[in-house]
Amino acid sequence: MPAQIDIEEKLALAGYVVDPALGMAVGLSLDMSRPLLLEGEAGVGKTEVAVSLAKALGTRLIRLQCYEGLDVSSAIYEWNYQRQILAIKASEKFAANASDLEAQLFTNQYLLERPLLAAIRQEISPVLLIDEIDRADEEFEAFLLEVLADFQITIPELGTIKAISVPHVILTSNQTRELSDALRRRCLYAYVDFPDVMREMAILRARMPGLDEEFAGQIARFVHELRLQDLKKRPGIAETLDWCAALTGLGVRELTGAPEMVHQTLLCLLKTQEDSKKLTPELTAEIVAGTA
Amino acid sequence: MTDIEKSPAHSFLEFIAFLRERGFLIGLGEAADATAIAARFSPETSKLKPRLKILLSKSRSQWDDFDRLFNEFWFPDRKKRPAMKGEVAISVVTKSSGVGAHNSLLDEFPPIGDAEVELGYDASGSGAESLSSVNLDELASSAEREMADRIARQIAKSIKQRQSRRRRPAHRGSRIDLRRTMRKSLRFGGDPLELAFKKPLHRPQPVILLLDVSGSMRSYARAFLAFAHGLAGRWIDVRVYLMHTALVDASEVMKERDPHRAAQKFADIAVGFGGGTRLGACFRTFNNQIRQTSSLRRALVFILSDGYDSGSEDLFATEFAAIADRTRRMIWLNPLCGRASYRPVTLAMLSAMNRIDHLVPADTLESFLALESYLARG
Repeated sequence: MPAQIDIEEKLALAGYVVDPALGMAVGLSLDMSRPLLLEGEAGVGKTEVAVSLAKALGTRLIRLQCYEGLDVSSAIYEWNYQRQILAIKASEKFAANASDLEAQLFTNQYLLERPLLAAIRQEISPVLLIDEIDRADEEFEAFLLEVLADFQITIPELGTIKAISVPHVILTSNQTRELSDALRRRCLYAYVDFPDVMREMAILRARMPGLDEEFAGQIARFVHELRLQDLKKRPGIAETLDWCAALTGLGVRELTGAPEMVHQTLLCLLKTQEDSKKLTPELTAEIVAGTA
Repeated sequence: MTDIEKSPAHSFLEFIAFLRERGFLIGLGEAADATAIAARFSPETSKLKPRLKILLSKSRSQWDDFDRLFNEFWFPDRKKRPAMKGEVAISVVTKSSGVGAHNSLLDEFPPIGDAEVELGYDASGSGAESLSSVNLDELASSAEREMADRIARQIAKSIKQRQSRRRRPAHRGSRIDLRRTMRKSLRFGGDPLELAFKKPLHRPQPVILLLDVSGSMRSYARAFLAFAHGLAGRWIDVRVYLMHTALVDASEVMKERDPHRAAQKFADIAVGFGGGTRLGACFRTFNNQIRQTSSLRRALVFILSDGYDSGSEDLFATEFAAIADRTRRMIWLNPLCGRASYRPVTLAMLSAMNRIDHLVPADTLESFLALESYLARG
């Protein structure tokens, strides 16, 4: 328990207001040296957990952004072919034999580290963020299994490279596709939901220290109410922060006093044309009235 | 051994078995980790449940269900009252709360092709929720399942392969594989005399099945579910959703090959079968769930429904168009349209006709074979 409270405090100092369940998940992940899989809608702050954890632990953040078609050469390692060809040409005049040449070419000197390999070769455990793992395809998950289970990477030409320090691994997924059971089994799991009003208020005040408490409450209640509407894309925490910054920049200090300004700045929160149409000035005014 | 004689460790292993029966993926490693945590905290304290939830849940649904299952196992007689120390009867394994409990609610569907079935049954669709539940075994006999499996295998073969962004090694191809070329060049002193190539990988299109299991579809549900079960067991990526007054994701259930676990999972999701139809609302839920799924742009969507809808026409049209926009191809299998007198007169069918690629009759398992010719067109 103390470890969990400790990590919650450290994350708070790094600017991340964590809810107790997520705090416990991060704490357990650190205690057990197990990867943590975070699932939830886009914009709930999954990626930010890793960024803040790196700050909180004072360590390096290594990020691997996943996409369809991501392969070993982009995620784990690649040989530096240009240098290898130059080395081959340079060795021609010494008439080196093939086995010597091979031994010379496939060494660390010609190895290009990609995020996963870099993560296990750090002296101090970094935070390894494998972002949007659901966007990568199934083959890539298979590559990941060895890294996540044993923290080692096998390079056929070099052998198995074991982790110097075990990275703190955080995987995020927006649930756009089902992840394999094998990957899930290797991870601890937490579902990250949109924050409740109180936590969103705390986030606003942590990120914008000068913000009035009452105004922060109005914004949090408005966004909370907006998320309950039937929207194509519900606003995330980053959008709330953007909107708060926009309102503050325009000199708004109270939502109820400026319903028109609220409606005009909704472009910070709504990201599709259909949602913008749905939020009529009347509906906006109604929601604003409810936040008072 | 009586319940009282069971040790806490033994009871905890029963809890692990209880979760496994409900679809939790708990390997030996997780079980050992969980046991180590359980040795530190008692179930009565508030410290054990959240830790086990993080360790043992592996999906959103398990995350949402964990608290209920934990309480169901450790505190079966308790609703909200906090437990007193020493009060907990640890060794309760509520297997009876699983499959057996649902059997009492069984509401068997009539067989396929039942001549007595009134096609106009609930034709306008009803908005009422139904609490009837059904068992997978009763939806399809073993002979039907075998036939469904055979047909599904045949259909799966017809599903076109599409090019993916990944490349694989090949003798000939459009792009040079530098790693393999470099290895090959070593035997020629570094001169790349033999080139190695990569070529694009082809994958089958993902398939989405949207099955209407409302009252008006009672007589066809057996065939549809058997077909879905057969198709979900193939090597293609299949997602199965059931539609009645709400949308239910049945992908995991349909992929389950173990009969006991399949029956257990099916009983959990069968509430609402044979009730009303709100296709528009189901499509909206579906759209909300898939809105970020880029891979579905290649997907083949099968809608198995008679098109009777009790919901709003506008909602149906909007949401149906959104599915059509996001996916590659839509095939509507309608059990009624095999009849010579059939005309798409329901408002839902009329608005869907503009967006679907094929309308195919499907009232028996055999009729699914007609899909082959549509799938062959690419």
